[in-house]
Amino acid sequence: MSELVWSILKALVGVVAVILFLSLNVLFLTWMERKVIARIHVRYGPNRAGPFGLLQPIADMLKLLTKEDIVPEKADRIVFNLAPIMAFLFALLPAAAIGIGSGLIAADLPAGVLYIAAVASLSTIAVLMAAWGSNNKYSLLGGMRTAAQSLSYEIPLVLSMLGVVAIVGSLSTQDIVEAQSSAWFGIIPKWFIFYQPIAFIVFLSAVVAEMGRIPFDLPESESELVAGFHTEYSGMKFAMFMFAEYIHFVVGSALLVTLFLGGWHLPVVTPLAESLGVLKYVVQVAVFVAKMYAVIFLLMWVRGTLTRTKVNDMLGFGWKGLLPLALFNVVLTGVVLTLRGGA
Amino acid sequence: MIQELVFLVISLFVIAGAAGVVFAQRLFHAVLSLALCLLSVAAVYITLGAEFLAVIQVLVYAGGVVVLFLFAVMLTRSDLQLRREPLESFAPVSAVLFGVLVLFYIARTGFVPQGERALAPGDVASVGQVIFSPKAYALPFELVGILLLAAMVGAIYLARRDERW
Repeated sequence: MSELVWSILKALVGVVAVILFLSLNVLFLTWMERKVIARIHVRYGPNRAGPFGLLQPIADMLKLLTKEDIVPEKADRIVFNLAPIMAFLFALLPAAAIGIGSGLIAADLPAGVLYIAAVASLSTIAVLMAAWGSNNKYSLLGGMRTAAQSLSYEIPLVLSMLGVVAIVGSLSTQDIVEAQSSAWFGIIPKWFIFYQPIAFIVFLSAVVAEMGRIPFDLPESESELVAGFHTEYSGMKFAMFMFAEYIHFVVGSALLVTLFLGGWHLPVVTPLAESLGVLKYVVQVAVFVAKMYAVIFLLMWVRGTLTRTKVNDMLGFGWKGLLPLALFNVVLTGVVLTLRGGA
Repeated sequence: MIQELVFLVISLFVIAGAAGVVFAQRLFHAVLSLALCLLSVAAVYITLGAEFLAVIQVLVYAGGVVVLFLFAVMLTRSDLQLRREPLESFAPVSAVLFGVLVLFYIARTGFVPQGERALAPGDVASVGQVIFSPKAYALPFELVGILLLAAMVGAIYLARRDERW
């Protein structure tokens, strides 16, 4: 009985830690995104609330909390109200299987990477619920684009993970990070971005599409669809969609770091930190978060630089560009691993 | 004791989802109920220790099939004011017959565990060994692959209306 209580307690701690980590990063990200995009546009960005405008997220939150909650008259009320909750919930799920340090993981699942791919695909349902429940033509169009986009890009996304999984021989994210711990000559890290460059490019493109960010933000392209699937949402429900979107951003970047950029490992630094006792976890988390923000900054840079793809190009790029590339990479990895006599 | 309790709660969700599929007034709600049902079945798999199967269930059924269903409903806009049609005369008869059949088989099992599991569930490696080893399921697996390919070719043939592409 006490074992059961203990495991429930452990699960609760994991859940709270995941939500806390994501929430803090999301709050910071909303500020960072506006600031980075502003600097790319040669503007200042938010600079009134607090030093460097750092309190802007809190001001935004208060604004959204106090706004009127509007439900359209012709909306499907149950689906309309359930959609933001589902979006938030489904966005949280994949984070459980991503570790930010050795053992610092909510649930080290044996089928970890596959679990992430599976629950990440659920968020499409929430978007479709919002699109349908709003009973609005712009929402509906945005929802259909989301469905087409996420179904098309899910396949290259999963296939691009396959090469890494084949090398490691495990689906657990902890094992995948541990497999990238060593380095050539002690300084050049053995990250999978060097072993799997094709997979890295495919994964990067596909994960941006799954996040729905520029250049693949067709589901909510504001110039044609007002705001896509969340056109009719206001106040707190709108905030939940935005929150879910930024959680996708954090989780996608964290996954990229885990699979291709060595997770919490950094040559010279992490081996030195091993002798620090409990402090080594601080170093690991710092390394992981630093890498994560490097990826996030890259994607913000992309957003500030590129334009939106056209609808007809978007599906073609996924099916005719990324999918063959991902398949080629799987075959190539298989051949090389077989020639070398297993992983 | 706790296992039975968990199973009961999950079963309630499965049944509620299944009932929703049948009784929902609108097609969209029916598909969402189907999603609830399929996700709850995945939860049942987890309680049985078949983690891999549960993940595949979520990936293929909830993430793939349900999304495609919702997509189709939205494309056709078929259920804006759909009302349930009166029951066809044969529908209750077939429902009762099927119910009797299912109850018959449930009564026969007597809820006794069916012996040891053939392979360690949740273990991706052993599932892969069984599927791809020539002595076990390699041939059926390849045949299913060919069947799916044939279905796909057929679907593409039906979908293209003219010869230009």
